[in-house]
Amino acid sequence: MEVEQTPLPGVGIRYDFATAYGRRLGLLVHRDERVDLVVYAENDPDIVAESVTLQPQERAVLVELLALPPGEDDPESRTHHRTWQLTEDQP
Amino acid sequence: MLNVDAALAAAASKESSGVLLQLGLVLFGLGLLGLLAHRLKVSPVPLYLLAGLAFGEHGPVPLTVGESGREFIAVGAELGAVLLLLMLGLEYAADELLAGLRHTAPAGVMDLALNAAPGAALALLLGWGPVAAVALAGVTYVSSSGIVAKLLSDLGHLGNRETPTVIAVLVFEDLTMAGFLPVLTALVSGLSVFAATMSVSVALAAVVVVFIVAIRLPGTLARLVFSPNDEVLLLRVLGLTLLVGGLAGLANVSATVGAFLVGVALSGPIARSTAELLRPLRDLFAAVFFVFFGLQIQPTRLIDVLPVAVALAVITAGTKVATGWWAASRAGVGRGGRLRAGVALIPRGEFSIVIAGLTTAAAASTDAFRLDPSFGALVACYVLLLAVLGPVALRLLEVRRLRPDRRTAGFSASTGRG
Repeated sequence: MEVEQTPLPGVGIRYDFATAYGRRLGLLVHRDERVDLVVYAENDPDIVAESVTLQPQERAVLVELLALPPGEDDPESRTHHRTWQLTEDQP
Repeated sequence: MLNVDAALAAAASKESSGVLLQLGLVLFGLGLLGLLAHRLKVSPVPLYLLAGLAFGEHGPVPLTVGESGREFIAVGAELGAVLLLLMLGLEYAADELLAGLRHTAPAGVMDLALNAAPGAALALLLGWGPVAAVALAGVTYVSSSGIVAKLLSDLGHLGNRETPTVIAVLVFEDLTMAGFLPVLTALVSGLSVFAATMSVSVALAAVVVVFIVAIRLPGTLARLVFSPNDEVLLLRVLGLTLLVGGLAGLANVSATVGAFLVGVALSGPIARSTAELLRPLRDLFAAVFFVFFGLQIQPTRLIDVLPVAVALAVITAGTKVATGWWAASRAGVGRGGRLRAGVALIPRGEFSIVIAGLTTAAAASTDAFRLDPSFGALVACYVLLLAVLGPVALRLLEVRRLRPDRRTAGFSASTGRG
């Protein structure tokens, strides 16, 4: 898969790629190590529709969830699960 | 005898308290304006300029800070210009400035040609002479990287496709400044052709050497000034910058170029922590610099130059849009992005004032050339217009884009798609 890497002098580096369903996703890695997860607009792949700033531990959790959703009892897991059963009333 | 001494001392302390009082008033006023700028989400630069206009000799609130106060403001203003350029140098590493230069050079050259020409042409049309033409060309050429970078970040445009193009143009401009400022300094200081060529060559050689050293031996200067202690680091970097700037000034190369080169030579994590330390100092003295520039302008002249400034602003807003459109289309960006790139480049700000400040200061101190008294007023009026209207234009574009977007979102939700 092709990931585009664009240096942004004075800001950081941007990585982005197109998904099989035609959306563009990207990461904006700032020089101060702040990371923005960006989703490009559906009707205009040139513009950011949504940008979410992630802290280091949030990135780790996202990576873990994306790589392989861990079980509730996995001692290695960094995520704290709260699972709602379908039969329960959700708050 | 003793009585006279005591009386003199008392008078001196009274005068210095008076200076503190006046400066305190000025800074407090600037603080209020800064807050207003922050609330309105506009750049504080135009407000500081307005404050300078108001406090000027012929302004509505003339300031009487006395000789020592005026000296402080003048020196502070010089320090402000130096710190502005130092921070600009710190912003980019040498390899970042040169990376992709071959790729972005056509856009950069187009930017220079399209945006310097209107300024130069106007100065010649008004009969202000070739030196003023070069200065005004610089004023209309340089976008404000401070205003643009903040705007892109505030609007969440940093991830957009057109943003690398916008940043590439800004980087090219900053690099051009390193060559432009020595040329301008040589022109305004009224040197002979030989001496001017010499000082420009020295400056350009220094630029080349600094870039080579910074790229071949990264971190050399950083290791030299580094200290884990913030206080020591701050004093060392500031001391080094003023030393280099002062030497550059003595060699008839602009002190600001020396400061810019110190910033470029410092790179990596040290550059970042230094930038963090220097930011408040830069903000303070840059504010003094903008006020100082405003102080020298007769407010009534603003009204005289307003039609010309509006025409220049409209034309050079158009040429920036054309530049951005062309550069972004070369990068394969769609129509919306091309327009955004062009509009994002419209704001002019701190560096236009640095160029104009350098010119007016030289004209005031030497009689090497005669500068039209309306020059400063025209630049102030021009920057006031574009520093405010440029960001407004980009925000309006954003509003227009979002409106139809919301409608389609509502439509897709009601039909149960997605």
